[in-house]
Amino acid sequence: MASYSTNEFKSGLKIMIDNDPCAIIENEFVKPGKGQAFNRVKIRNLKTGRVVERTFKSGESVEAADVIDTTLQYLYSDGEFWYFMNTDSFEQIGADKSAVADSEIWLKEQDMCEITLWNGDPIAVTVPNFVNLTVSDTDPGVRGDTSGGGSKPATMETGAVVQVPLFINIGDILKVDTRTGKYVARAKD
Amino acid sequence: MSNSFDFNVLHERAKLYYLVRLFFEKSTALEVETPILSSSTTTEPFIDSFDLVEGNQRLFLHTSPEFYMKRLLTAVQQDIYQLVKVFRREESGNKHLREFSLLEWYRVNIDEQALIDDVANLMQSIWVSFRPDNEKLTVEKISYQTLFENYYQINPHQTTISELKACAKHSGLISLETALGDEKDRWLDALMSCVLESNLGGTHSDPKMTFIYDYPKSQCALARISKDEQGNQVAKRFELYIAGVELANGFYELNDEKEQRRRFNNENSYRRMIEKEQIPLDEEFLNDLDTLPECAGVALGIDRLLMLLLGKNSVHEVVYP
Repeated sequence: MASYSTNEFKSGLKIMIDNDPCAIIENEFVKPGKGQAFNRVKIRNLKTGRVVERTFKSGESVEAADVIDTTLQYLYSDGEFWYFMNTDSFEQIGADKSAVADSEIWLKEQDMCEITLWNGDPIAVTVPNFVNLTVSDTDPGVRGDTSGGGSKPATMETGAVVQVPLFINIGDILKVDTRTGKYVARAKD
Repeated sequence: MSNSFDFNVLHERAKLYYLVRLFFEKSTALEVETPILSSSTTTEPFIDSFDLVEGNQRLFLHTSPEFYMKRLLTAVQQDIYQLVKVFRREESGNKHLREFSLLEWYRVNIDEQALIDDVANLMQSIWVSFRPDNEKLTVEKISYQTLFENYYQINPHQTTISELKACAKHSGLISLETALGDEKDRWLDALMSCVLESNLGGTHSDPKMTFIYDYPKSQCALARISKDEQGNQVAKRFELYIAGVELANGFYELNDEKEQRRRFNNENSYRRMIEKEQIPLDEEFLNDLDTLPECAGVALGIDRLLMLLLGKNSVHEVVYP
């Protein structure tokens, strides 16, 4: 198994901690003038998203995590797995609920998503920052009200519920920020 | 690290050097220069030297001007200081540069406690000139023992490995167990640099000078050893911290050739144990050591000081490029 020495540590490096793949967020070198040097690192567990701190003796080696990010096209879900396809090789891969996590409500067929693979298995799904989704249900629009003075909930085709302006109707296509879950604009289609 | 260097820093550094020289002129210390290249270097197990080759001779870039300055001090018998670049392999981070500027000075006929006051005076003269409010820094002196007693309720001079491991665990340093093994000093290093240090010397918004003194005997380096009030053998050594940053390290200088040789040999043995190369001892330095006058000496990191004075977060922001 490949490994990294602490002097190769930098943000973004993928390492194994407690049998889970993690990414280094921050690496700080600390050393008393005459004593042992240490690397204090902040790491994100790529499976749980949790951020923890760890301290290593400088010069120690840590097992590398075989983690790659790849851009795949979302195809469909059978309820248990969400299937993605490599558009070059047409190879398909299924991600389970723990990998898809909160991204589920933003997954629209044919959208390109970033899939994090650990030893070839999907462990995280990152949807685009902005997605265009069709409104499947909302109260009737108020004609002529384009001021944005009020808002109402709208259910999107993927199941996400977004606060939208009053003039939005069923069938409208909206641009939504998946990071905040907020309405951005009506998509020009 | 920033990509664009702030050229105002050059003026600030020049001002700092001016203030340093002014302080030593007023306190009658002589500015000196000593060789940067040497056929010997430090035996410190955790300091790694750069080396160069000339013909069949191997030369080291100095990691501190200490050895040559002490030899010079023996010859001139008066206070001396030096502002110089030093070099240490594989030290890089927000508070580390592999080449950095050091201010090192020696005063004759004083001990480390008197030198602490001298360091404080220098720092005050610099600090008020850089701060618009002209406010002096509060000075606090805490023994290494008191520091560990206050924070961990342990006596660092008499503690045990299991106590130290429990402290480390309490502070979340859980992953070091196998890496550090059963060496007390390594665990003390871990607690000091990963936990305690960041709380010393106040904060960025409310800084003060905190001097830690009377280090464990095992961390004596080139300092004298004597008994403290409780009868513990302690190293007459101190460090200065401001806003969580270690700035200076000073000694009541050992002038006993036999004892110093024994320590160098011990360090070489330790190096062998951790599979580092043996360092040839600096015989010329050792030869002069018995005639070194009573003195105390200190080295202060200029880049870190400038970083603090300018409110920067990294030493990389105060060096060009």
